Amino acid sequence: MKTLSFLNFVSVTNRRVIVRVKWKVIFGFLLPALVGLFLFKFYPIILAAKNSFYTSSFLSGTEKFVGWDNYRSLFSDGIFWNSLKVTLWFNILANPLQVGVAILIAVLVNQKVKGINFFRTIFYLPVAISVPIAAVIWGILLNPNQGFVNSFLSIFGLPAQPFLVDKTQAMFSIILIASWIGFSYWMIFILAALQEIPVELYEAARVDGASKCQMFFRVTLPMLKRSIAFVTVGATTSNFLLFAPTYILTRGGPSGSTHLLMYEAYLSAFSYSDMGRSCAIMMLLLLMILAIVVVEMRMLRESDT
Amino acid sequence: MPDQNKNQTLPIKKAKKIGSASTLGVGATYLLLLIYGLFVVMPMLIVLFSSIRPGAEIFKNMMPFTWRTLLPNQITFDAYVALFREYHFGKVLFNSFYVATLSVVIGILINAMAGFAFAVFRFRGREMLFAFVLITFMVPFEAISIPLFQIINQLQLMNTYWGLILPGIANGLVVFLFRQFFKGLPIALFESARIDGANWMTIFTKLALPLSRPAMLSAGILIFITQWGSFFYPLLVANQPEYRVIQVAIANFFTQYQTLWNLLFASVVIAAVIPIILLLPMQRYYVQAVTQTGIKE
Repeated sequence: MKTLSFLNFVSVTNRRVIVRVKWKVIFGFLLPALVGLFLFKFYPIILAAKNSFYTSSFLSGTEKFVGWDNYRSLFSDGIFWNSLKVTLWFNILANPLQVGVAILIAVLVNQKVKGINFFRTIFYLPVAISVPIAAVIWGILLNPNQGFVNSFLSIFGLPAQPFLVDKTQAMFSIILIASWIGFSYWMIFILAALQEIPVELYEAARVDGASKCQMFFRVTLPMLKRSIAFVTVGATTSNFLLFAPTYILTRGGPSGSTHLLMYEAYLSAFSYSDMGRSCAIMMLLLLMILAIVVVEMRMLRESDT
Repeated sequence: MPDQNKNQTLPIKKAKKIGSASTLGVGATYLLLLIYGLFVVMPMLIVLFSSIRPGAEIFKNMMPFTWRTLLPNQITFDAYVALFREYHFGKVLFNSFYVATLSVVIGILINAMAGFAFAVFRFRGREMLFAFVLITFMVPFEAISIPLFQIINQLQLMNTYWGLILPGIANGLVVFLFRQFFKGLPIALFESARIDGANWMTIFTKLALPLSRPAMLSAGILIFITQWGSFFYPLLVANQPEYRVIQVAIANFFTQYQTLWNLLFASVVIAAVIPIILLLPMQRYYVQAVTQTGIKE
């Protein structure tokens, strides 16, 4: 380590970093980003946690410590339980769907046929379209009377569907909207990992007499493990925190069938002026995401043959 | 020597053959590609074509389904003109562009600085601080939007451009990106500059940063698309009409002006086309930015 002080004598091969930099300089380089990260990414979580134990009113501007009351009132509130149920159903359906289809599409788009690059570019496009815009687009397409989807269905003789105004179909419509972007977004990760699988593995499998189907399950999937794990975590997180379609299209309806927890958190803060309740919901959401991610990771690890 | 080369080309050719056959067969592959391609593209095409229909005609040809349902028989750009003339869409566009561009410029600067320090300097607590940076990257923006609203409110930055920009500029993923990049640069480069008497800021701005074009492009497209698509946070913090960004404006449009369909379609086309135009040439950089941690996790 003492040799590092001889900076003038360049012997670079083993050293990767430079010592002997003034603290002032290091601070200067790090400070803006670190302050930003702490203040705007880390501190909000602490603030939300703390707020969940207080009630405050916007009007009087006072705060009162209430311990677990916010949580207790949530657990005795039917609306909360409904939101919880809706959110869980949404995730049970949307997460496997998005991860599964992302894998299938990534495999599809990895095929070496002519023009595949064109298709790959097309498949990327929903990523550039944000969730609110996708919500508005599909909101228009799914219009029961004038929507394109119903018009399209009529070709096959199918009757017009209510979609977003129907208690059962609304949830599926929102899953569709979230997945329309989700498929393409998560495909990017799987595709990147897919392209790193060495071709020799497939050749070895072929020599061993494996069918294409076997190659997919015995070579492709195991090699994609890490990427699938990452995508699962990402999809779970985004789906648990979904907000735009409920706010723009359904406002939680019809009959609370799309009343996701994020929407309830929003309402608590800005319609009921109950910041404590809102933060309590956020804390519970974060805990749920954490728990489910842990379970998903464990399940993925167990399928290690 | 020539003999050895000959033996080496054969196995590689074999491998190529295996990879080239699609797992599904060419016909099935094209069919599936077409089906999913339509699923992706149709919604956007419908909206695009509808936006250039005359207002009264928009839904006339919806039912029953004919080729007229897809293609307009009359084309007009009235919707776009009205959008800018009567509905102040120009301001909205400006807001989004302004916020997104500033976020990109400032974001690249401060995150590259931090990435540079993590890559090149050595100091106590470096690993721990970097771990902290990575953890913040895993915090989803939606989850903290409500407490962020409180913070911004207290800082008296509601309905201001800075209120929209500030929370987004420090970005753990971008720090990671730049750190990765700077780690790949030879130390000798910086050392010789030091010997020449340059201070670190100069080294960073005149030497390291200009070299980091790939990282800057990746970071730039990532930050821009994220900011452009930002909805929940701007909704909470900047809902006054002069400061609305495009996502919030269109959501508001949808609920307020439900029957002005062609205007709605036009605004959606604009909101979607701009990131698409940016993403198309920068695909590679966006994918790189976004998959960096996905693989290295």
